[in-house]
Amino acid sequence: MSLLTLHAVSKTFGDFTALKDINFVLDEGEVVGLVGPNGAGKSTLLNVISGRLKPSYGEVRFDNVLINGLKPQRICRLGISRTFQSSRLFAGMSASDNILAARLFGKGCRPRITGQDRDAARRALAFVGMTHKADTPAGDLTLSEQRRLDLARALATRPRLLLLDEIAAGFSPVLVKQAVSLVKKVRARGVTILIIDHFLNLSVRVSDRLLALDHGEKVAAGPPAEVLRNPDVMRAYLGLRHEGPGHTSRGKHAG
Amino acid sequence: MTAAERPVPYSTAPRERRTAARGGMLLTFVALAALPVVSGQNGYVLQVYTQTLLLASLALAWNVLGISGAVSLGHAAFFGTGAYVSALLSTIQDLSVWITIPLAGVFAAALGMLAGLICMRLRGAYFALATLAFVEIPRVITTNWDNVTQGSLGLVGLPGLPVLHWGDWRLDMAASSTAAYYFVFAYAVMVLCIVGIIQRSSFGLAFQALREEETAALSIGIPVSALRLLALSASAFFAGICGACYAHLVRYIEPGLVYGLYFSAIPMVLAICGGRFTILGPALAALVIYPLDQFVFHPLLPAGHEFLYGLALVLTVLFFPKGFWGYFGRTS
Repeated sequence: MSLLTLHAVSKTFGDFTALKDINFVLDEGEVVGLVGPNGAGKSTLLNVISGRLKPSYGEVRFDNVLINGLKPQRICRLGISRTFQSSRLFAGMSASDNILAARLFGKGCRPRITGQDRDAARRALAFVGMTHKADTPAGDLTLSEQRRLDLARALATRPRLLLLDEIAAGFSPVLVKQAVSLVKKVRARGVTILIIDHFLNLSVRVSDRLLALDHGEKVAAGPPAEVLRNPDVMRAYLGLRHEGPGHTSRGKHAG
Repeated sequence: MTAAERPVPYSTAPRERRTAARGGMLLTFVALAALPVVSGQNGYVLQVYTQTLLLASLALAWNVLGISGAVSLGHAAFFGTGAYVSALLSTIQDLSVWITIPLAGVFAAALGMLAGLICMRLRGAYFALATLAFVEIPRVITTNWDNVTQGSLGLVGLPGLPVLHWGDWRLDMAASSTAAYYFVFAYAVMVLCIVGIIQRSSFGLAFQALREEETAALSIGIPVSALRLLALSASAFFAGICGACYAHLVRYIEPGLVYGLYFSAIPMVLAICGGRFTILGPALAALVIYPLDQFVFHPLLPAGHEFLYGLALVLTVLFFPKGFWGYFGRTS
């Protein structure tokens, strides 16, 4: 069953087109990697879905509800949550309070902290392996811990769709491995996941499908192995000239 | 919700320092409660401390907005509106001061709501500057509405604070400076308790989240604009009541006075010196700075004694960036 549907989504900033006619369907329970080089439009698309940006054209539907132009807090309450590439944690608040704050107004939440919420915050920290950091201010955590706390905070809003923005960027191979297993654990809870992944180090290992963008346009979509072999994706990432079947007019002139 | 379950803001102050702070807080409360007795009901001392407690209430009111991360440079708009509403309703409509004081708060809150709707899209310094400009609206209206407000001449001979009745017992707060002192003391304690409840509640946690990182607060569903509007209206409500109390204490108001920079700047300076994100800080700063001004600096430098506020602000920024109470007590 489709959970998120993008229909002819475009986003322009003045004369610049950041997204052009994106069509994509994300099914419930799927993990999809959104890949592409710098400036491909990945973050713009994530911001359009999460409500930070309003699409210039097209439709974004979540569970058949049109969410174009809804405020981020409304979209969160509908069941879409996100993490951030650069730390946007509540730095002066403890790790535990960061999660509690997310339980105030999320999906089906009431603005009142109860013992149940405190238990849930403890469980959320245990889920990301940070029980011992519950009282540490978020600003004092390491990069890996901050990303995990960001994930726990996003999950605390009880999302059906989770948008992960470069969750493994700058990670060592060991940390990437940990991130892979964490994403698999989140998936096992039945959460649908869209991962933005510039370096492909995470998404190819956990995704069912990849959606590749370049210059704001969809260049490929499908199983990871297939997308990675796609000449347009190779050209976008590596700048390779490709003359075989599937080349585009831009591909012809590239290199 | 039990006390243990309540969200407790994170504190960086060591436990011993916080214990010392709690002791000091209790001593301060006892000293203030005993002041009329200790001072031998000295009229001047009581007058200064009544004004101190009024400014403490105003600073606490200012901080209801302050805890959401916004800075207002225009709280005189709400203070002055409260003063004029209560003064006009009690003189023209002949309403009891018991009714006009809360009504002043309601009018000020409505004005706060209006200011919020106009300025809420602005952030940081832009919001602060907009509030500074906003004060001019009620000031200009009051100054030019001559037939009602007497314009820049102001209103004189306003009714004093109300009379308390309990059977045969009667206490005229307009005639007794001790009674007036306790009236303002009670109001300051009430505002302090309300600020404490807000800060320690789930809303306090939401306010802290939105001032720390607004984008992330939105992404976890916190209705940032609605909460800021609520904070501004509540802040304006308490500031309006402060203005009304001021009008009935001093019994004379004029636009240049109650809408002046003084009542916009003082609560901000006191809140920053005491600790913007603390519960008690603004009130404690008022208790230290205003009496110091009146008893020490004013006699020494009658013309320039207000430099003390600037000095306090500079010293705070240099040595206690989180404010005086932020150093001793809770920092959030």
